[in-house]
Amino acid sequence: MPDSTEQTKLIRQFLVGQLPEEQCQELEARIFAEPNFAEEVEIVEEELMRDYATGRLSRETSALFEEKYKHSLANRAELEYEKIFHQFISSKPPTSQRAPDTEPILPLITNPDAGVTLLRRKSRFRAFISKPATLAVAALLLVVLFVGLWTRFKFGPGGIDPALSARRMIEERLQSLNATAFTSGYKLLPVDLRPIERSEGQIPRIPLRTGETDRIIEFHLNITEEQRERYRALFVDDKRNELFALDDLPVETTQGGQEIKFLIPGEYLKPGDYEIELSYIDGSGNRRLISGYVFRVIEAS
Amino acid sequence: MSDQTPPEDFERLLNWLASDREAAGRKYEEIRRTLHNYFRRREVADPLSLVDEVIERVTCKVAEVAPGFIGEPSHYFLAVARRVLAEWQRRPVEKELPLDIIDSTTNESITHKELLLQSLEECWAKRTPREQSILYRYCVETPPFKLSEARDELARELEMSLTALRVMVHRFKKTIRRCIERLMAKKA
Repeated sequence: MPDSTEQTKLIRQFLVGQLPEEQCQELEARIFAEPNFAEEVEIVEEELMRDYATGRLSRETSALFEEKYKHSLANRAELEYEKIFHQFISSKPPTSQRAPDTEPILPLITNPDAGVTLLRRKSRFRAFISKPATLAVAALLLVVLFVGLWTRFKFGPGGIDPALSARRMIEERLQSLNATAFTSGYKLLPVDLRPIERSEGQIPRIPLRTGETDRIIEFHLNITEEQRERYRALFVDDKRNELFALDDLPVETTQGGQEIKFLIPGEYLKPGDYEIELSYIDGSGNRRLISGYVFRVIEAS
Repeated sequence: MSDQTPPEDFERLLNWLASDREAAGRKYEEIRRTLHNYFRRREVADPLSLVDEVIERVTCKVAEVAPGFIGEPSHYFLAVARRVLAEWQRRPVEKELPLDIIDSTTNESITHKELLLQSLEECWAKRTPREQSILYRYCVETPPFKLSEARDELARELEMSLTALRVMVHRFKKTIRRCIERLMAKKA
């Protein structure tokens, strides 16, 4: 959790009323201008309320928090909602985590017959798994089953998860399109994007016509970070669903600075808001997110 | 929008926010929410009434302001909100409320809480099992694992950064909150 970042610290100070008025107004202006920043403030506020409810705030911050949040009716309602939501969600463990509670413990205590039946079944099972030959056959069957399922569903377009298969097919086409850069016969639409933090609250709009299959968008992502070898661009929609990704993207030096260029057929983007998450793999093999680039696709008139 | 606002003015406001109607609706909701948070964080007891006031004033002025306005309309909303807040602060109202003003034992408060829980249950049921599981694992500590460890593990499983997971969970919660607000408004 990025609690230690300067930005989170500043937002927390703002929320508990520790910042001078001038700085508060600056932050409020950012909240109105940058939807992503507004969202970040909402997240930090939720975390602050949670920390208060669980006694994780320092005495001083806790006092400031109470001063600000417990005297206004609207803020108290907000606190109350967070509390109720947390209590509710705590009573809703996912099915897999509820499994231990569903074991038939009661019948064993209250009904001796049920207990005996269970014990007999256990004994038969133990006898079954104690034979090495049976175990070896079972293990072999499992391996065959696993390999069969894996080869059937891992790559197939009609596999277990159609969405995943569709995504793979899109990504394969994108890799091939970008490797060959073959755009003859297509209408190219160049789009320059800046990282969210430097976009000054503006969302670039891309006009596309639904059903138009001969349009290719040529994205140019402006980057200011230290140059890495290869990048990955992941497209997510406004509900944070991952759509598709492009890997191994190189950096190009242009007159306007460093940029990453790639092609996306317009047919893959319906009207709506999108974000491209640019990341790279660091020396320890972990993926590091560098920046987000937002844009909006609108129906062309 | 107030009942006295002419529909054509409200149309103009939506057109100013975005040319696409659906996008304009989303933007309008986003501005309302931002305004609500702005007044709430400024310790206004009834932020909704001031949000309506701002929307009303901007809607009345939109025909005049929009044509020559440069930049995002949200900047104009903030300017109006600041003015409305300053006016509210000058009004002779009691700003500080006693700590026990929300009496959780009154009938009204109990009914509100029941309605909230009922709506929460309905909205929760509308989420997919995957979303429910992500929310639970992100929000609830299940000893012996610390919450931070559980979140790291979850982010690894979902192959996303912790930051992206944090945002995703917030958006899930926001969707549930909106669903609750809609249901409660219908039932009230």
